[in-house]
Amino acid sequence: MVEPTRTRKVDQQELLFDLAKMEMVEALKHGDNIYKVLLNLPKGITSADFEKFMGQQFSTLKSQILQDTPIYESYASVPEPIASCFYEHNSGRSLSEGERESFFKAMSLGVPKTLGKTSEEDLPTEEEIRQATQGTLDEWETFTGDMWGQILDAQMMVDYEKKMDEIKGEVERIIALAKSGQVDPEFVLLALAKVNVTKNGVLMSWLGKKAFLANDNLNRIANDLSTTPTTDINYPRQMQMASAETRDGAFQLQLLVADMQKVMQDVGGTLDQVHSIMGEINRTRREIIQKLNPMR
Amino acid sequence: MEPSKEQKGKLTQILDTDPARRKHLTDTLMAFLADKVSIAELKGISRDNLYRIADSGYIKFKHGRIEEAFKIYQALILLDHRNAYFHTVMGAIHQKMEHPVEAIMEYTQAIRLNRNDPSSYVNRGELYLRHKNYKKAAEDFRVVIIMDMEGKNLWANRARSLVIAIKRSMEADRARKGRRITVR
Repeated sequence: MVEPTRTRKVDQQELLFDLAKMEMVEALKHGDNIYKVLLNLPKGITSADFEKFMGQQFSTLKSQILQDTPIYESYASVPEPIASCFYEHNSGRSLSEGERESFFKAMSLGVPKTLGKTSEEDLPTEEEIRQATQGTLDEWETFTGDMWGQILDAQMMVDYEKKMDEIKGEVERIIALAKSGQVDPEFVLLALAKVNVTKNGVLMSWLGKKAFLANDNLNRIANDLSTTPTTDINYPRQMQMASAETRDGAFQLQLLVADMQKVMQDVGGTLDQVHSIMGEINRTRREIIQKLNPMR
Repeated sequence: MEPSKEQKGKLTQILDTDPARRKHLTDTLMAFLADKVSIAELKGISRDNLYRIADSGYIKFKHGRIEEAFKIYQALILLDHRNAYFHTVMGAIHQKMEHPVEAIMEYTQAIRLNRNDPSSYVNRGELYLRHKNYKKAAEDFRVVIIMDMEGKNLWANRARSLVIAIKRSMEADRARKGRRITVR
């Protein structure tokens, strides 16, 4: 038995509304705005039809596209404050009125005296500013002087370790090759001489920099003295100080030069020793060859 | 007889003769110097008051009155520098004011104080992303995404969307580089 296909019975009003939809869409397409469209309603369509149509559209869009709540936050947004953001204060920590006053007074001791003052008498004089500037400059010079020495030492250590790391692997490789008979023993001597020369080279560079600094200091002392007028009341005292500082600097320079000479002697001694050992090796080798082959 | 207000003030000064009180004060000041106590605590400003001030600042921030919010949160940070929330909002304020370095510093401080705040991570990550520091951006987004695996947190969801932005930005960079090489 064939079952009849039953379609849903469409309500008369629903049918009319569906037909009116097309006209409403057209009216909305060509109208400037909704108020003008509502003023010139198409025939057989009421404003209630428009409301119903709009409601239907909204529910469709809402279910398909729109979300009731945002799913993610926007640029540079933060949550609003909630009580749990604020930890409970320890009431025992709070100071009494008198304590607070003393405390904040003590805290403000570090603030410069001129801060917040307005009258001219309270402002520092030109001489005070000059003295303060000179004091700061002196402090800075002492600081940089101390600092330079430390920087040079640190640089020397870093340089030394870097160079030694580089060379260590090379020397070990050459020793291994010499042990296995792939290279002559002279190469080991040369490699070791290279280690010694590199080590002394780093020391020499460090001493050179130190000598440069000492020389620079001496120049500065001379410059300072030359800028002070001879008529100045402090000139004799400055002269004395400069002379003492120059003596000290010259002595330091002498020590540095002596150290440099020692380093150079060390390098020279090493090279001579390597040279003589190599000569010895060659001589012994020749003797062995001659004894093995006396006809030659 | 009850002591007067003046007498009370003198009795509770730092140079108190009571050894226990002196010890307590010394401990408190040491804690302050060691960054463990805020000025708000020393001044006895209650949590509720801080909350109210923070809320008013937040409303100003939300409605675009950034300058006013900045002043409020600047004061709050001075009062209680150990509150992560203040640093988070300050970071967002700097971000809106186009001060990326300050914003990153504030967010970093907020994260240091509270490692479970997704908004600081996401906003910092977004700043990194805008400055093409993709690695750091990805690290921040990853932390937030792991924090919320269910996808309920709005900041975690933003992080998810920004991960796609990283990918697109990297692809665009690669394409640009490729184009430059072809032109040469």
